[in-house]
Amino acid sequence: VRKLLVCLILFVFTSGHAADRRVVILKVDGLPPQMLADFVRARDPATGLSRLPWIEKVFFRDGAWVKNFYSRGVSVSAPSWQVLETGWPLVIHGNVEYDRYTMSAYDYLNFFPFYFRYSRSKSVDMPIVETLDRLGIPFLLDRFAVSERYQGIQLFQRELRWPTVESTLRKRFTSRSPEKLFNEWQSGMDLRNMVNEQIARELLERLKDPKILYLDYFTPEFDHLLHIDNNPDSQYVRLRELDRLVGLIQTEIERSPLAGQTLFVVISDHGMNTSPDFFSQGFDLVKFFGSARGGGHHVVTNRHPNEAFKVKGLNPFVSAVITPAPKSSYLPGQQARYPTVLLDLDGNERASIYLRANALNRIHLLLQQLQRKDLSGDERTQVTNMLENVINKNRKSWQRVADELEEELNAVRAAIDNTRRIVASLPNKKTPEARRLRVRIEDWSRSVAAYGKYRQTLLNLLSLNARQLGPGFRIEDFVARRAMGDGNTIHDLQNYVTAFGNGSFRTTNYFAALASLNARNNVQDRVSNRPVDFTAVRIPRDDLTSLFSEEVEDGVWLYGDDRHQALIVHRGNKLRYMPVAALTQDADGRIHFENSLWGEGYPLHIWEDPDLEVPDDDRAAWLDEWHTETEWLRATHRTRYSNAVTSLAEYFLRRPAPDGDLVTRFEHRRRENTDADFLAVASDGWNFNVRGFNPGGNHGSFLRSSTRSTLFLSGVGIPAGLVIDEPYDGLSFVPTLLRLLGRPHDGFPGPFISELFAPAS
Amino acid sequence: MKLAALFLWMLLSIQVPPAYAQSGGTNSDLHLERLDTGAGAELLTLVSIRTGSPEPVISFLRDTLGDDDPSNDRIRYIWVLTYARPSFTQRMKASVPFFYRKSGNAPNTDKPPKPIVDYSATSRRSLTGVLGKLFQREFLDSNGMWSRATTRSYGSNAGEYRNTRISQSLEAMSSVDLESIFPGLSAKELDRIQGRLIVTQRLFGDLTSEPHLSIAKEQHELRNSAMRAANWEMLRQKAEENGLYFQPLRLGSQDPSYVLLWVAREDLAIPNRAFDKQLLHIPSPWNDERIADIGYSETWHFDDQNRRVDSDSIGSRQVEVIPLALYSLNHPKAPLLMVDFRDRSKVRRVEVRRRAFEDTAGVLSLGFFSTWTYLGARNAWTALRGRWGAPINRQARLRPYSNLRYELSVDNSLDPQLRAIIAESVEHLSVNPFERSLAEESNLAAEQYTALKVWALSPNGLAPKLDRDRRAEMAGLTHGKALRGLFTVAQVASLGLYRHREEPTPDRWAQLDRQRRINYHVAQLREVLESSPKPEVVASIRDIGESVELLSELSKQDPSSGKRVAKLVSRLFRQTADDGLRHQCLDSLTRMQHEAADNELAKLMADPELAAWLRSAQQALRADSATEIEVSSNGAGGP
Repeated sequence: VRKLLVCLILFVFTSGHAADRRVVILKVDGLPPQMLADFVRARDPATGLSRLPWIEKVFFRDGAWVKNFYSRGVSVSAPSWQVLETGWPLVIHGNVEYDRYTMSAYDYLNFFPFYFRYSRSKSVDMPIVETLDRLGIPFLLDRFAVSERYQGIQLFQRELRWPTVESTLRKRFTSRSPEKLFNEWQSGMDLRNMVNEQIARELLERLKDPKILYLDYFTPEFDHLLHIDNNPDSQYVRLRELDRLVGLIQTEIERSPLAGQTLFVVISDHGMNTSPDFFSQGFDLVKFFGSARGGGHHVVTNRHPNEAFKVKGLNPFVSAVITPAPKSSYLPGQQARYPTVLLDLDGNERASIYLRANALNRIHLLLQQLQRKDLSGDERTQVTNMLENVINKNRKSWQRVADELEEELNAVRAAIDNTRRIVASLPNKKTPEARRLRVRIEDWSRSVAAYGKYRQTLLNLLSLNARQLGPGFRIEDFVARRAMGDGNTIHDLQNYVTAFGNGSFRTTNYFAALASLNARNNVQDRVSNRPVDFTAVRIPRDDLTSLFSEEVEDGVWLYGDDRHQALIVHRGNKLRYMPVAALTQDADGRIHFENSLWGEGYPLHIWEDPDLEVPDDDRAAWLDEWHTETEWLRATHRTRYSNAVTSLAEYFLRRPAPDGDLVTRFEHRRRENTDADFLAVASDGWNFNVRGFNPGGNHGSFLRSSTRSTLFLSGVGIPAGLVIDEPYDGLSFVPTLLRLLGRPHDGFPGPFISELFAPAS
Repeated sequence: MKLAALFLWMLLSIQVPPAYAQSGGTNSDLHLERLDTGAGAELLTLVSIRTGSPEPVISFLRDTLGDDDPSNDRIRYIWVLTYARPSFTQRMKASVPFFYRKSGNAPNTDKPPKPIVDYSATSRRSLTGVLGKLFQREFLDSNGMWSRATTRSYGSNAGEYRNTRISQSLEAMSSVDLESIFPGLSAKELDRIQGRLIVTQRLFGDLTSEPHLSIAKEQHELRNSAMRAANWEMLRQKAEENGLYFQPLRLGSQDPSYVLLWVAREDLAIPNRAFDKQLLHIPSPWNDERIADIGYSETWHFDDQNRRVDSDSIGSRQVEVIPLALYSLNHPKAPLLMVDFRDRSKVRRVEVRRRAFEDTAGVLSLGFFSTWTYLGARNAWTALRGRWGAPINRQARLRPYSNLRYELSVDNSLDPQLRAIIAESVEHLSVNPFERSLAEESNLAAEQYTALKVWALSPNGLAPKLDRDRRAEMAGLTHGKALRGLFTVAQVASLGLYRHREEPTPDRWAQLDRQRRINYHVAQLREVLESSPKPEVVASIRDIGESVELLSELSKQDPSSGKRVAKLVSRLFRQTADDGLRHQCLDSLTRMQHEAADNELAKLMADPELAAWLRSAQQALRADSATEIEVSSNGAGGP
């Protein structure tokens, strides 16, 4: 009884404690911690004080700095924020993702369609929130009651506060004196940060309210600036604005009723590969894939290439743009129906590349042959045989997909009816909850229709009797328009069909083709002439099982060139990096490669990196072993490629479908259908941006400058002046924060940042 | 006064942190010439020595009131030494519509140049500008085509000439570490000078407040920096895509501001190559026979990574390259073509065509309401072309043309033959009758500088002008708002002929000195208070304390400043959390012996937060029995 009483008292105490704690999170997209630290250390010659005095005071002197904090998976905004916001492993893999079967784009960064749809009651939350909601993944904000939170405008926007948006323009002008407005007019009025100015005003006001326990402020400004300008003076101007905001928030926290119970956090999703010593150079993959050498593809991107120079580029609602190939070998003029490459280039130091299923290319080319009237009998027979072979080879998997889809689509239709009934029964249909249900119904309805169409083409293919194909058949009955089909295997990508001639297919090996790209103008000392550093592709566990004595999970193949390749393999909670060469996959799916000895030049350059923290005399032995993620992180995080081993493993790991009903399985399928075929990673100093020019800097690669992120904490429970050297990644953020706030924090995969809780500190 | 005594009794001692040292760099290409004029002012001149012979660029007159205290100094005038009074012939030519040629042969001058910025008359330029536009519209435009065309042409040429000279001087200033060259001027002062030069190019720019000028300069640089980087990368990608060679050039700048595109002679033999001329604005070099007429080529060597190396590098590959085009990166949206080596008059032709197109509306008096269809169509077409990357902004085009002329004049990095080709092409780019040739401009700058120095030292030159300006400044200190308003009305009504000035008495001199120092410290404090919710975090407490101390002393001697100083000190008290500073604020307010200060004290007393602070301060005082507080007989206390 006494123990129970003690437990009860403790519970009451901690519960009460927890309820009082408040968090203010300043989310600064793309803020590199080292740049911040350098400016903090620099002294203003006029005052002798830090050039960022507030940040120095609040976080460097009175707070803690998690000095080696990395983005997990990929250093791109949407995926990185997803890990930081949810504490869950990666489920979003890019700023834009495309559904392979329907080519619909998940455009996570475009605010305009969201505002527009929200104003018409067609959406409630930003697309990334809708996606996570469908998967049942809550995020940090959801752990606070609606009345307890104040959320700024951001990627993870849950609902929209119209009053904030409406008052933005008015306040922009009424909050300044006429003299100041005149001065601003003369020097060029800067309206870029209008919304965030209003958010800051509201945040400072809400800090006075002790009932609000979660407040955040998101700014993409710094990321935007670093992309376009590598000039430290320009960067300092923006950092100074951030410093002032930190000062305003901290001052208001100190004045507020919850002054002693507030945690103040500054966090960024990734770093930035920027340096005043060089401009980042762009390489146009859209042009490459559209060229004869790249396969002559019609390419889809989420924004117009060079949008600033096109009238069409002014359209803010665009999510998918097709750039026709000038050298398309078999689909000239058919770009609207048959784009065959989808690119996600955001972040810009990497590109997620979706190629249409090789089997569909083959079928398309063979059907084109069968449409020819000048085909001889023998040729027709040969083509027919080839077509049957392709179909038969894929028959089993397509049948499985068609059958599963039928079950799932029926279940979704039932779910739609059910949800409609729920909505109909709601007394108030204008609440966010009711609107969310309507949005869900609309989304499901669209998906059912689009997936149904794709399934029908699969059924048509499965029932196709090539020998009885009459004249005038339509190819789109068998090859779905605007669909990529299933993902390609390594074999497909090494033998990717781009044309047909003389009775055989012409193929391209994309790994070799991308590795061979080079630039004529090599004018910067720190930038090489090779735009592509390496390519990475997932190897499904089934293809790897025969190669290892133990059971392994999905692996990753990294391709530098033919002789410099590597495998990253998952086994339970351990990982291994193996240097290999000449890896190929045969038509039957068997993987072949040569084991290589450790040496220089393999992807990620682990062996030769002087900052690899393993015993020098036993480097090979350590590298030949399986190690946990933590061990890999500790050993590699200071190397040039920082946490690439763990991040690549995370990026390509596909988790099995969760137990659940058919609707859950359908949602899991939709997620898996957004998988790209492979990832091309840019060399240091290069980027793949085509939307405009990003000479200032970029991110998205695994280089330490891109992955190393900012995490500063100050306030309740945070030891003053603490610098944590131990490396952590994004998975640690949510559990650590919840624990600091005294809220439930169990069940997350990431470790706590234990130094923050250590008694000694 | 009881209130003041109460606060004094409350004062606690404070510790002031030490100051930090200041550091700066050096620059060997430009140097400063300082001339003491003997009139309580010094003439500071930036002189370029890049090409061996000194070339004066820009001069400032710093009115020091003859002492060493920088807080009462102010910049009076700025002269751009290549900006000269036009000759009669130049004026006539500038009045001729569609006359797009420079007119050289400027006569030798011994007259001092006209300041491009006169700080004592900053509002005059805006006012005359507005009145001029009204006069143009209401009178000149309605008096026939000749009246309209000539005056518009003249006005446009004169304005552009002034702005391009300013732009040149800004370019020169941005190319060096000014702080190391002007050790006597603070970074903030230098920023404000540059900010003034930036905003003065706009009609109302001269009315911009002094504290905002550094922001104007900062934003100007932010835009330029991003613009240069984007243009650099755009040209590199275009060169890559079209099989050309890309060479960034610095010339006289700190950052690469120009790019040369080259073509390899060996590539000219490859048949049927594609060429995308969008944004490059040059025709395809493939199968173009004019390449042979360029008359200049270089031999470059590359290693296996396509990096340029020395000719003796082992295994290097040799390529003969021919220049195709020179671009300026200092142009918004897209790089600006400066020289097309195959057609050296092309850029001029295109520029003349553009100007003629733009000037037609002015000459024909096509107003929006009279011919909205024409103007609507023209504006839509211009907007479209701008969207596609065409250089549609006239001022934005003129600046790079003018800056390249200056940078070529001080550059010694280019091969002389190549430099001569570029210089010849750039000479053609002068489309303003007020412009002169490079050599003439260089001579003109030297002559004007000599004349300026003579004038500055002459008893009938600078001294009386400075005296008049100081007396006008005194008028603002001596009279109240109403009377000052009347003076302004009189000045406007007389079109600037009348300007009220005070007789300089020793008292007024002292008042001028005090006011300048008060203004200086008020500006310092305001800036700190606006930049941070707690001033002590972003500025040295000692500096803040010194400003407060000086302000209270100065405002005691000059009660007219009491109100604004009291308000400022009171604001400082509310914003700071530093006990020492708070005590100093109270001390200052008490010692000011001014009604406004007493009012501010009363307001602070009524503030509950202050009451709490006072209580805690009292408690601290009691607890620390060893603390001794000295209270002087007049009520002033201190640590």
